[in-house]
Amino acid sequence: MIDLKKALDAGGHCLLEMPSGTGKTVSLLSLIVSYQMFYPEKRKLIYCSRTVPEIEKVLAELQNLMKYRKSRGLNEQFLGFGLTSRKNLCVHSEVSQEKWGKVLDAKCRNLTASWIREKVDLYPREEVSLCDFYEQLDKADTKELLPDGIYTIEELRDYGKENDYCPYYLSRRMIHLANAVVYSYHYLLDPKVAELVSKELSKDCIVVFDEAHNIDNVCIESLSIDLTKPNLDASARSITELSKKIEKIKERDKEKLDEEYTKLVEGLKVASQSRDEDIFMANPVLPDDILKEAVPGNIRKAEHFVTFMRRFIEYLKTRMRAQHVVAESPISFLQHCREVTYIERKPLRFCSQRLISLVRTLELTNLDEYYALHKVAAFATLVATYETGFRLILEPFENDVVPNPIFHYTCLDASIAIKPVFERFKTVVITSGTLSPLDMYPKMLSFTAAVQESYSMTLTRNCFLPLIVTRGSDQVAISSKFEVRNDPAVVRNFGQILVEFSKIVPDGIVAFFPSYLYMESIVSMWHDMGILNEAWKHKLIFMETPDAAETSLALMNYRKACDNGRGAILLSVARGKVSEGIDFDHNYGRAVIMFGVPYQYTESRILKARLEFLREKHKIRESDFLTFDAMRHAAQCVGRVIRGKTDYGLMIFADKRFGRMDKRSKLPKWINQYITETAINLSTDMALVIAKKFLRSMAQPFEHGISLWSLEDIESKYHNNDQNVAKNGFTNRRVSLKD
Amino acid sequence: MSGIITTDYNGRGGLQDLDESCPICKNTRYLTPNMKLLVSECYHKMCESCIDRLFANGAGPCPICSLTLRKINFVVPTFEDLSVEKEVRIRKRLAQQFNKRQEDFPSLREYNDYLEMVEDIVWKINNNINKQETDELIEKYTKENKDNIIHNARRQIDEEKLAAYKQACEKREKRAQFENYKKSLEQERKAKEELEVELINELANSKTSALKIIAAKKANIHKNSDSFQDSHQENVQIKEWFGLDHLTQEDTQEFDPIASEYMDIDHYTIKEKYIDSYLPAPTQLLRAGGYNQKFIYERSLQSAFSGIFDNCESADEMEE
Repeated sequence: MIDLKKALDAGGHCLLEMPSGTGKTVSLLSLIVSYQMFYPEKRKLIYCSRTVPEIEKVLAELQNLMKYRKSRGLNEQFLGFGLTSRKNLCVHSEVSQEKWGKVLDAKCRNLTASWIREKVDLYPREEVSLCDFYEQLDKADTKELLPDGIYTIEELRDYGKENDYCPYYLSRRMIHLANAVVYSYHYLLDPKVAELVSKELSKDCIVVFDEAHNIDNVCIESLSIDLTKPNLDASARSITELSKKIEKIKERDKEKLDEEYTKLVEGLKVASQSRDEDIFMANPVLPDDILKEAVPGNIRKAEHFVTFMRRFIEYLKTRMRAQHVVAESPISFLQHCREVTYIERKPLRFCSQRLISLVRTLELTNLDEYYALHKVAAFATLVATYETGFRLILEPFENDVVPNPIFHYTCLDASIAIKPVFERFKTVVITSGTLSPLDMYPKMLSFTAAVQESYSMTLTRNCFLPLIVTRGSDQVAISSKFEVRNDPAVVRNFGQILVEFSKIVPDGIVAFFPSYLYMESIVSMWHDMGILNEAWKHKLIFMETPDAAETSLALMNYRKACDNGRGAILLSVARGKVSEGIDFDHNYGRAVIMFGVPYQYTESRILKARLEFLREKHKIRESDFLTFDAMRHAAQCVGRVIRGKTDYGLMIFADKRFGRMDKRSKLPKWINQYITETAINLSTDMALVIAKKFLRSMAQPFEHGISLWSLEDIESKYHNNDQNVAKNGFTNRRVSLKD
Repeated sequence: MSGIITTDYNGRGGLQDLDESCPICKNTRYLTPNMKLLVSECYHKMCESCIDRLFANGAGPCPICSLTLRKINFVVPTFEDLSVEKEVRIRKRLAQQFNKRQEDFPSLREYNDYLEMVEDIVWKINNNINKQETDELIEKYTKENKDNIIHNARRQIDEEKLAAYKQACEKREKRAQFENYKKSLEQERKAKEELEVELINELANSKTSALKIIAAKKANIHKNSDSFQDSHQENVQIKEWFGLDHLTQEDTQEFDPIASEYMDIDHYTIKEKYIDSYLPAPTQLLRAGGYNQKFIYERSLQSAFSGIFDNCESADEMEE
């Protein structure tokens, strides 16, 4: 914690690796909240997490913390809440029924957009429906909307229902009054959303990225766009629609178009004048990269812009006709585009901006229909804005067989999206259970960390046991290496591990495979070999699938089987949903088995481009990055079992390659320190002996360890230190070491 | 220019629309996968065999709009949408005359106005509005800006050449880099192999115990392996050293390097700030490490004053 305090004091960024399940969230929160409360400037806390359940968890922790502070006699005014999409917050009786987030958003806008609300004022007799909750909110005074306290998402909805306020806009408006805001990464990293939500945050906010081991991928995704053939067709349709609308509006009220036109001529920013609620499509590039000048003359008139877009879409269509994979830089793409269609770079850059303005002037509703067109415009803007760190990849075939052309515009440089965050905020804390090796992240995200630290764990008992199994009982080396992965001997040995461990491990076992494809092929082979039948005798078997609903059903039944003592095995995938957000605490996970090293699919063109970029720019070797990526996922999977000190579990790494130094050194420190020399090169039966012993000793009733330090001890120690500091200036260096 | 891109316009079935048909003979692509649709001057599509048949005897009227056509003027369309095809062709023609750049205008506003004018002309030609007027306008413009047009055209060619040259250079550089990288990988692999061979030779020939040899080799390898691991281990070592120091001293009492030798010195007060050009400004990184200028001032004052006020006895004792 002292490191965090140091970073806060120094106003620098920090990178902290903390073991999972040790109260990472609450310790971060408690320090930051006390820090906030202690200093008069009350720096705002922005806590970013990955998924909605995780956001809920953080809010619950925050609630507990504030309760505790209250019980300690600190009566503070503190406002904290979570921010999420309309889909999770909407309380409108009709709109909230909608299943698709995009449609729901569009419906909400149909009820709340400013021109629709103006219409009501203008023609009171016409029937225009509005959202009552929003109207109520609009009338109320912002300062008195939400009393202090911590609100989980559910509570925010309830509050909105009770008081007839729209919880979504309520939370949006309260951001600048809140002391703590919890939301997803995208609200800060994705320029499309960040512009709306995070624009007004002040510079001295404390930003925390929790579970940030995937942060580079989030950054990359936020600036990448994939276009498909259906996308293009849909946008071509929208363009025809738009031109019809323009014709119509020309006949009816020409002034509107003229007004827009003069505004554009003057170079006024139309979008900036509009209110928060009306910005429905945001610019896809980072705020700093938006050109602040008048829209180029050749797309100034509405009809010119429409033909311009049509030309661009047709151009993309011709490109999609290619029969082989094309990878090119944005510059060469633009050059070719100019040769064929006479489209210059500059108007392309303004595409998104111009489309937004046009949609506003035409007062379009049902914006979800224009989604594809917006995507194309965003694509155009991105292509024309960024030169380096990006690559265009056209893949005409899916899996090299099915014709399904996709245009990938991929960002290769993770630092581009996160740069404004690092520049804007004084302190950014990046934390997760798995950030090893620590120097990789500053390199990839190109920032300098004031503090970077990996913490080990002190345990009252050795509650987890990492074992590296390198060969089966028959001494055949096991590996998920491509050459041997379907070798019957290897598959049989994997099966053997599963069966044997299902015999000795109580309750739940979670097994991870490198990919869905591999999992499927292995499971079918196990079925033929009769291994599954053998495993069934001891435990039920569940499987993760790419379908979210199916997986959550499997998970529910898995939990049930663990609870009632039947025991169960969950087969899942290292990069899937299960490996990321779901905890297997206590009886839900007594053992994790990693079958193979979870490398990425290396033939992927996008990955290849990224590797090349990393090699050229950051001097990171391809193999280094691949192992780093594989090991962080492995560690993430394995870390799912230990969620607290009363918990215990086995971690079994079943691959020959885990035994190598270069792989092991990339595991987080807290796992690495418990890998003993004897446990790095085991055969199945040897591993079984060790595991049996471990499980027996762990199954003994657990006495909560004697806490060596009481509150008085800490206080007296603190007091002593204080005196020492008073005596001579430089003992405080030693104090920090001791802590 | 960009040699990577070779769009397959002829389309071997695969990606092209199977329902596409020739408006003359009503033949569809589904039936004849090799069908080639070409487009006429008047932007009407026809299949190749129809063209061969209709215009076998030289010029003839278009079956749709009866404009006189020749076989030679049929081209392969670039775009699916023929209106775009037409527009682009107009642009191509106009681009030879209207090639002004932003540098040619005193302000951005005027440049934008110019762009809009060009756009208007294209729009008018495309939709056949005021044909004569537009033609006159173009002619007038061409006459007025004759020099500029030639100049800009030349500049355009130069620039394209430069861009191509640059791209080629970049490519070459990239390839060289990649080869270097490959070479270094290869070298590493070779070195590793050599080491292994050496180890086996040693094991076979020497008389010292096998374990010892392996241990020695392992230590060697660790030293040679990349710097990252080295620095990592160094860190650990430093920490251990600190830890040892801790235990021996702390067991007896709190360690205080000054208390036993010197008395407290309080003949000075420390100011918040000194004029000083010597110490580095506290950057983020330094501050996070616990650096504070105040301590340095304090210490230097302390050492300065301790010399003055120290009593002679203790100094004598120390000498002894």
